[in-house]
Amino acid sequence: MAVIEAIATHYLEADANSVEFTSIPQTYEHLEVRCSLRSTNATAEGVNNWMIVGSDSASNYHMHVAYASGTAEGGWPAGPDTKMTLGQTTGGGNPTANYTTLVVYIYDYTVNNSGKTVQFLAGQGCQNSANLTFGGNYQDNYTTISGLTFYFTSDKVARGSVFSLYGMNSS
Amino acid sequence: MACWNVIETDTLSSDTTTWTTGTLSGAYDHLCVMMLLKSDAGSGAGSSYYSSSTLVTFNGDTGSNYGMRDLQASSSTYGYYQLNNSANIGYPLASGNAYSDTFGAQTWWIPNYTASTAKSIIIQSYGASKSTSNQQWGVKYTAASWNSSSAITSISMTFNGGYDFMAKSTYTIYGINGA
Repeated sequence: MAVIEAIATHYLEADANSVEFTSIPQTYEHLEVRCSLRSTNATAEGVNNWMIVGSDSASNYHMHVAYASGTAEGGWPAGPDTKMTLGQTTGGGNPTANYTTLVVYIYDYTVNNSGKTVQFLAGQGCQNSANLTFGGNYQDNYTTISGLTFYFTSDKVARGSVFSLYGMNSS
Repeated sequence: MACWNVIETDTLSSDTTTWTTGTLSGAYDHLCVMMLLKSDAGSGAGSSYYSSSTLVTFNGDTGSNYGMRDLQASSSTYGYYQLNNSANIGYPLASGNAYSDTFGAQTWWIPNYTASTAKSIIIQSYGASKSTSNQQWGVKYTAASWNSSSAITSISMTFNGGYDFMAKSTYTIYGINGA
């Protein structure tokens, strides 16, 4: 068995309300999601990425990030919240050719005796409005992870976005 | 040979002060290390130890051969820290023991770990927490260097402050091949 295996990929050929991975096999140690994504928001340069685990939309998510946006930089904690944040995605305030790069690591997703730790790195590249965010989320839920949903608050995930889910083995 | 290979994985069954890998094969081009770490700093819920930081050496080398810079946040203010000619790579984050069930995460990328030149490393770390109060959480991105011509054959970790790695802490070391 290969150490890293591709579990599923979503190529969006049309705008979508969300992107979901379901029935994730419980046979790996860690999960990794690599994305190129964009929001359909008509005017914003940056739109918050959200993710929920399975059907858990309770106030179980605790978010901690560092960011650099334009000439501003800082830290941002939040929670408990009903979703985790994974940085920002470019919207209609930037040229249509620009997509955000997002890498998410979900550690020990099959353990059922602790919460879940997620790390991410999001780069919203654009020639006149770049944004970098890195950090983590803690999901205070002992349930093993079998589903992931990516979405924006009131916008759609734009056509051309790509999400790939990988499983990482430890033996 | 596969591109990604598991070199070693370990999960603690009991608390440990110094955590050292076995001898690492030099058969790969790069290393990636993924860890979930928690220290026993504090006495559980309600203690003031929300996060801890690790000190890392290679091949048992405790000479002044390491350097690091990090970008970090543990409040609304962004900051940085540096060590020059240090005896270890400091201070990637892990969780403390303020909450019983939080584990911090570290991801290490070590390219060309067998090269005869100094080794460059990047580390993303997260002191996972349920708090939003200042200094009760933390995130860091670290650039580090080990000024040695030796291949990396082992990695050793302790916690700053001498705390233990708590049971259920885990790491996996991946060896990555080029074409």
